[in-house]
Amino acid sequence: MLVLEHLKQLIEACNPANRAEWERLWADIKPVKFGNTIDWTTAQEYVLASYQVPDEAAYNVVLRVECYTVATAIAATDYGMFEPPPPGTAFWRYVPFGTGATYNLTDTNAPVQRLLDADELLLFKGGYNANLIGNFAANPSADTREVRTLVYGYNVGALIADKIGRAEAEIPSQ
Amino acid sequence: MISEAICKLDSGNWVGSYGGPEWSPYAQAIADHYAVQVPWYLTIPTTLTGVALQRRTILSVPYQHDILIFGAHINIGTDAAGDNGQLVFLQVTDLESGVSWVTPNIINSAPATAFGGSRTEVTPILKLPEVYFLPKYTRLKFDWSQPTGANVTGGSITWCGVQLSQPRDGKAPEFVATPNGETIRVGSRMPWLSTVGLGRRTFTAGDLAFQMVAGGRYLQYTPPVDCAVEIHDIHCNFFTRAGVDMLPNNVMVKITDAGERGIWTPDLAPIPSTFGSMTQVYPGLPFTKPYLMKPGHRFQLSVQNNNAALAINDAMVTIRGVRLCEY
Repeated sequence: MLVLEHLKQLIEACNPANRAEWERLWADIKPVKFGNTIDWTTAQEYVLASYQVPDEAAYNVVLRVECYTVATAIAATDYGMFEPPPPGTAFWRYVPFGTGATYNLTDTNAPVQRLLDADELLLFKGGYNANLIGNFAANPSADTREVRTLVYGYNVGALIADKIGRAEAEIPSQ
Repeated sequence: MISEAICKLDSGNWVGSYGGPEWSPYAQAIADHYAVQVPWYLTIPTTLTGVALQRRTILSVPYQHDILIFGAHINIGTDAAGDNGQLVFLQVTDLESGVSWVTPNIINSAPATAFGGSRTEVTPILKLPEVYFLPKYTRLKFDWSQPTGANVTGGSITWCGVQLSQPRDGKAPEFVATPNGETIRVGSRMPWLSTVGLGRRTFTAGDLAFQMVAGGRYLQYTPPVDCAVEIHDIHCNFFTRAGVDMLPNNVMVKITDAGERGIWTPDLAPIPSTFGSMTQVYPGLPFTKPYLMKPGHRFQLSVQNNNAALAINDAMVTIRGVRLCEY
C-alpha cells in the first residue's frame, strides 16, 4: 500500500497535464526496496543500506527509510523486541563503483532520527552506490543485536527527476 | 538582455572575467560619445588602524570628468591580519542614486577580494561584471568594516578605468544603443554583489562569525533581487585561511535558483569548479554562461563540508553581477 501511495504522490508531484502524461510518468517509475542487516557490535561506521543505482536508471528517489534494532540472542532480556535504531549519527554517502573517492551527501553529524525511520525525499543519480551509513555507539551489552534497514527507493528517469528534484530534502547541520 | 535565439548576451556581457580585454557594447557605446579617452586610476585608502571590528567611511573626491570604472586592485592586509583582504569588507554606494553595490544581507558588504585582484594573484586587477559609469561631479562612498574581527592597518583599493572627456555635444549621453537595438540609460548598469556567510552564524560582543564544521551541511540564500540581475561570476574567500590551505576540493556546493522549479542539478560540485578565489587566476570564477536572475528570485546554496576534521571559519561567498534596471 505504501509503495502504491508513493507512486501516486510522485506522479502528482510532477503535475501531469493529462491522462496520457500520467501514464507516461507511471511507466517511468520502478520501485526498488533495499537495505542491509548488520551486527551491531563496536562503535564504528556501518553500511545500513547500499544500492548500486544503474547508470541508465537514471536516478533513484528515496522516499522512506525504516530501521529498527532487534536482539537475536535468546538469553537477552529484550530478545525479539523491536527497538529504535542505535544511538549515533547517520548520513548518506556516494561510493563509486570499484575504486575511487567517496563523498558524503548529508550532514555527517546528524542524529539518527533525522535519517533512520523517517520519511525522505532524496535523489541519487546513476553511476554510484548510494550508501546509508550509521555511525553508532557501541552495543551496550555482549548480546548479539541486529540493525535492520529497509529503504523505499524508486528508479526514475530524468523526466521525473527534473520535476521533483528542486524539492529535494535538506538535512542541515545544527 | 539575453538573446534566446543566438544564446548570447547583447549587453552587459563580455567585460567580466570572460573575455580578455574586450569592452562590452555598453562601455564601447558610452566611450564612443567622447573625443578623448585616457586610462584612469583612483586609490582609496582603508584608513583602518589595526583595531578589531573597526569601521571607516571614505568619500571619493568629485571628479571633473566622466569615468568608466572597469575593475580594481586591492593592497590590504597580511596572512595574519585581514587575511590579505579576505576578511576586510567593503560596501560601495553611489551617492547620486543612493544605490549600494552590495545587497543588504547579514553582512551588507563584500570581502575586498570580491572587488579587486591583489599582489597574491596571477591577475592583479579583478574586473567588474560590467563597467560602472561614474558621472563627473559625483562621488562614491566606501564603507570599510571588519565584522568578523580582523584588525588591519592601512591598505587601499585602486579603481582602474577610463577617463572620458570632450563629449560630442558637450554633455554625457543619456542613453546608448546596444547591438541588439536595446536602449540603455547611461549609469543604469550598476554592479550587484551579494555576500552570503556559510555555516552556522554566531554573534558575540559585536563579532560576527560563521562556521562550517567538518562533515557539516548548510543551506543559505541570497536576498530576493529587486530588479533583474545578470549574474556573471562567484567569488569566495576561503580557499586559504591565514595562508593555510582549506582543502576546498572537499567542500561541495549545489546552486539553484529558488524561483525556478526546472533549474536543478543532482550533483554537489567541488567549490573550485564553481567559486573563484584570490588564490586562483579567476578571483571571480565565471559561470559558463551569464545567468539572468528575475526580480524576486534568489539563489539557494547547499554546501557540504566534506573535510574529515577541518572546520572552516568565516567563509563568505560573493555572487557578482550587474543590475539591469533603471533608477
